[in-house]
Amino acid sequence: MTRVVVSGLGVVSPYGTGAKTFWTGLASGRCAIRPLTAIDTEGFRSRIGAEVPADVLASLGPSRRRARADRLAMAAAREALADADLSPTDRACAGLFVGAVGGGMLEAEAWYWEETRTGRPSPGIGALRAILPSTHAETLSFRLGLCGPKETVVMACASGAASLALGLDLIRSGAAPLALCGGVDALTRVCFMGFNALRLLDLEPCRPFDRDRKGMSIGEGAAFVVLEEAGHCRARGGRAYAELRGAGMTTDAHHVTSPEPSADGMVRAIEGALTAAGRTPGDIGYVNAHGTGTPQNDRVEALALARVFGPGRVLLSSTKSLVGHTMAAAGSLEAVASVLTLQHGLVPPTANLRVTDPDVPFDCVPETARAVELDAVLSNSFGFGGQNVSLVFGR
Amino acid sequence: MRGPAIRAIGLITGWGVGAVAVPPDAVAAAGGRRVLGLERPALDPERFRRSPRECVLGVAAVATMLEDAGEGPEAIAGEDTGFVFVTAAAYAASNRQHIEPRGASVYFPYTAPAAISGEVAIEYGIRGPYGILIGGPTAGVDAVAHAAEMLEAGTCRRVLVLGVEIFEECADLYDRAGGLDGPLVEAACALWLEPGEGALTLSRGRGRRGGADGARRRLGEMLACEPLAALALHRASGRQGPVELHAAWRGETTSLRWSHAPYRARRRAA
Amino acid sequence: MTQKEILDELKAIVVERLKFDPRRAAEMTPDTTLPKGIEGSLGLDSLDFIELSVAMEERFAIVIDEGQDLADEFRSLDSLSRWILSKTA
Repeated sequence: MTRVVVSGLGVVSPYGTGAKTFWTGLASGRCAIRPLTAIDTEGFRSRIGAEVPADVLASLGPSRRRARADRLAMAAAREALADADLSPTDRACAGLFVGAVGGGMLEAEAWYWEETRTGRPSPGIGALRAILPSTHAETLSFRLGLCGPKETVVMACASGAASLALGLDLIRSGAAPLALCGGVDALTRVCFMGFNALRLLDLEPCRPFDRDRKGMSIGEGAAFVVLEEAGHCRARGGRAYAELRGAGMTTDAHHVTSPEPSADGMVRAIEGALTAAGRTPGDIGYVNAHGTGTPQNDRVEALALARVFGPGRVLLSSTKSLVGHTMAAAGSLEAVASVLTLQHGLVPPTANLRVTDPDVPFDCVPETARAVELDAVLSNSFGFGGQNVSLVFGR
Repeated sequence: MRGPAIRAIGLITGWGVGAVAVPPDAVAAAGGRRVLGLERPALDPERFRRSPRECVLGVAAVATMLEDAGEGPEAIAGEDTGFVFVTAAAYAASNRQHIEPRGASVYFPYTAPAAISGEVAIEYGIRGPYGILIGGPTAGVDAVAHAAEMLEAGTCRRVLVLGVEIFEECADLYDRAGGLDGPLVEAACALWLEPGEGALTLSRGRGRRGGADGARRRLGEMLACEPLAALALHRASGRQGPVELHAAWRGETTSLRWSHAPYRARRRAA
Repeated sequence: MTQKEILDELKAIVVERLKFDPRRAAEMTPDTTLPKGIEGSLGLDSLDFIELSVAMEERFAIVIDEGQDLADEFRSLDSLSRWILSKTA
């Protein structure tokens, strides 16, 4: 089996720009969820989330015409390519997999609301042309000189993780020696309104795995990784952070929003990833959980983990407790978190966790990061429609 | 890459059911109509009471595909069936409905394109590996190539490739934004792919030319459904030998070439 | 409001907001159970219950405590209409 390594990382998160800033934030256990400013939350039950601060956004460059999500994606992608130190020739053969959902929706809905509010046709309809989530991939491939296979992956909240799974497949198929893979989403009013209407938002910063959890907190960001065939990376003197050993992708075929209650779909994704990685549950020391903080998700995810690993047999924590649920970016931000967890031998905590739910029979690393020697870690991402993706990273 | 065989095709378009309904020239046949729409299929009204039109169209296209295969739904249920869904615009209507001030919570899940494939997966019990691609005609070609990769990797025994595009609810916005030519023809197209013979070659480039064998001229604007529907037209033409699909979208092109005719002889329904 | 009036309002919500066929709503009696998984019930799922709660808050001008377990109250049209009656009294 072709070995595939992670040779570059790039992140824009509510902590700021850079994978390093992201890791410092995670390791400190500092929760980045606060009152929102990017969208008008007047009249909503919940008015908090984790947004990329305005000054950080301003530092991403002067391109005001670009959609917010495009700017986040471009910054994270550039960092990942620079971190991997790829030559233009290497870039030219790189595949590109972008997980995205909202696309340019933030700008499009602003245009739409303006028309609705004034009742008059509003200029700037060009905003609608950038609404498709595939716009990010078009922008990145063109601007960054990536000429290999290119796909936009839209699997709801599992999109970011799915982009890595597809990149792994591409490299193993021999079609390209490397690929830039990741996800991006900016905050949008549509998304916030929807989760608000479904009463899935906690009024306080989310508390994954807590007995008193009330829902999720929405976030935004972008993360990209360079996946590369191990020999190719070695030959050009690149650095490998970790190895992406295997991925599992399954569907529940159960319900448009609820996870399947027996957790079968999640279990099959986790076991599929372990099998593909040639690993057993005992090899995994830490799980970067999907951990949204909704009562249903955390209960069913804990059930899946208990079925695969046995109660209490693995550490888990939720990145979403720190930077919110960044939608299509979440799976890729959490992939970066997983890689850095392995590298540093330090498990980032679950923030806001006071009393662990008795239905979650695991040590969820509350509040404070913990030093642990790890050989392999698992990252879970699950999306609306019962879309399950699990990734296994090893040293 | 090994070329996948096409076991069956289910095509529903604003022109009617199947390749036979597609006119020789879309512009002439449209006679000035901007959108060739599709009625909401009359499937189980209670089961699909919340589902918007695009979801039910996806389910109906798969039913048409199963009819073409002469098989029942059980033939594609389970973990051996992979699923690739592709669209550019099918979920726009639900987003617009949700964004209107009175958008109800039950509509929110349908703002995500994954809701369409989710409903189809639930209806047919498809539990294999799966992916969703977004974009115009080039994404439709990518979806077929992606399915071929899934078959080659051996992660499933058959793959359902489904494209859905609807235009009616947002036709005013498309007109104002520009960029889409010809009549907008709503479509839902399902392909049943399985391991086949010969080779499949995928190539990409930059340019503006697309439309396999003039299929585009016949079909009208179907975005991601265009290459899938083009396969239906090609099969109906009865021509043998290699098959080529070309698509263009926003300055990029994607082509797919089978070294052999990929169509499997149809089994007659009992 | 009488319980009968509340029942009629609930039937209207079932049609307008939960998108059931009006004939199905007309067949409903106070004994009709709501959650899916019960033989002969209307078959509502979690998404329906949220929409139903939002619609009830709007139509009956009540506030529903999200922390409270209301499974018994939302079990049938009868239990639900009685509960609304007690909240609006």
